Amino acid sequence: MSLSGRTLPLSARVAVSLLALIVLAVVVGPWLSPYAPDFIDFAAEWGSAPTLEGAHWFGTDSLGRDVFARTLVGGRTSLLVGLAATLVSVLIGVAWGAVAGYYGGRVDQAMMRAVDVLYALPFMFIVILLMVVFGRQLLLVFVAIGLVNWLDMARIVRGQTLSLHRRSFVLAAQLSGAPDLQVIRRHLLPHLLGPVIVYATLTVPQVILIESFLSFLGLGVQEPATSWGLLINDGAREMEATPWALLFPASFLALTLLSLNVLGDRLRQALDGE
Amino acid sequence: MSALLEVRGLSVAFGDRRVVDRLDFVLAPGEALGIVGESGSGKSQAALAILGLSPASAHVDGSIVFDGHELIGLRQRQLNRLRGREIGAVFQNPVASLNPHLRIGLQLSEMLEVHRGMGRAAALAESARLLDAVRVSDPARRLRQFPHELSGGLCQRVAIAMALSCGPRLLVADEPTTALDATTQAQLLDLLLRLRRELRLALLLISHDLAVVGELCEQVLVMQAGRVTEHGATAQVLQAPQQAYTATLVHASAQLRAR
Repeated sequence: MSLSGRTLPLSARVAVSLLALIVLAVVVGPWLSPYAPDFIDFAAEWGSAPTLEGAHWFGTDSLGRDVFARTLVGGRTSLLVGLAATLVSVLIGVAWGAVAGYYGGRVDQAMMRAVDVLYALPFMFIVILLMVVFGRQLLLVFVAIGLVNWLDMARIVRGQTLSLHRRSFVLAAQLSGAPDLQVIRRHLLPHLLGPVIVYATLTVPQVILIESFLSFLGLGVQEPATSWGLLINDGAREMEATPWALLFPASFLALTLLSLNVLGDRLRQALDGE
Repeated sequence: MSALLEVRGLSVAFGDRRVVDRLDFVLAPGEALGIVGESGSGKSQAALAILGLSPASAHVDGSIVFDGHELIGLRQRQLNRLRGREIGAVFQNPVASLNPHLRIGLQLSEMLEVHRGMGRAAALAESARLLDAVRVSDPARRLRQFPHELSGGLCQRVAIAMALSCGPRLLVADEPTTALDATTQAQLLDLLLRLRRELRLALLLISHDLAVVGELCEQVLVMQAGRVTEHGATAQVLQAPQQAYTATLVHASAQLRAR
């Protein structure tokens, strides 16, 4: 189940290159931008159109702030939320699923029924409730999204573990007296890596989208910090006067999501092809 | 001589379906017992129960005394301590017996490091010696290879080497030759026969092949639908079967051979 030594199709390589470019731009870009994201440029016309001559490459928004700087800084937040929340969901999901699948029987029943119950709860409602109760903190956005997203991961990992845990080499390891934790770590986790990576790649865009949605509703990131979702929300309000303030963050978001989805999909195909 | 393994009234049930029904036998040190039966007769589940590896959904009942210790009802940790070194196992699918992510050398030496407290270098040297003992050619190279680089027969030899690494007194072999071609099968049977003699190893062989059992075991136990239908000295059972079912099995195997 290894992906090494196999060349990914062109679409996946394009997706990887695009992602690398976006990540690079988001990480380095804000330092190169002549304007701070929250700087209101009184010298420029408010809501000025993008120009290549002036320093506002993506124009300015209706408050006179540089859209280029804001898009890149917003991207930092969105990608960070995407990665952190995915990490949370991978950690919880893999541990939960592996333990349930490995022990089986009643342990499995109890753990997976708990997952079913959580599935049944309206997710957005819980996130909104969390935001209301604990206030709007960026950290909480990570945790809330991660806490909800591990359910799918747990199911996938449990299924994989079930198909593996009666394989002879696992039995042999158990027979030799290796502690359960070591058997899971040494003999099961490496086999789970493929599906987990694929699913994590597909989780990142989901999470970014959720964060954007929350921010769009005004429940996620708060000013002066910004994210793609928030920028799109602002941009949409001034869509007729300053369409570029919507267009640029929206394109970045769409490109990122598309690339991640294409990459995840191609990885899955490569894995299934074996 | 006292028994090495004494099984009394061993039953394995899934829900209300009993797949092994009151199995009894005694195995002396160095002795070999073959359990034969068709697919689904419960022979593999019996072997797993004796190894303490029944699936979580199985209900195991009865008594299994190994070297004076009752195994049923023991907690996992005590069970591990007791049988980890004393009982080795070889399973049907040789390729699945090895972890495809780890090099042969690492898999073998890890067992030795854990169980015999060897250092890495000593464990690797011992691994090479073990591979040599199961007649694997060029052990030094094999140690660096991954399981997928080896043939089925070689994988099974490595699996046997792993099972023997801790110097067990009982080897449980569940259809060890079934997945292999005829020539390799013969070689592996030779190997098992030789190991038995050299290491004074007791053998519990699960097979559907009466010829294999006839070659390796002194005792044979025939199972059908979870129950023991016949049990006795191999030569006697094979030449003068008492039960119709055993006769059918012997006859079937003779017919195959004649063809």
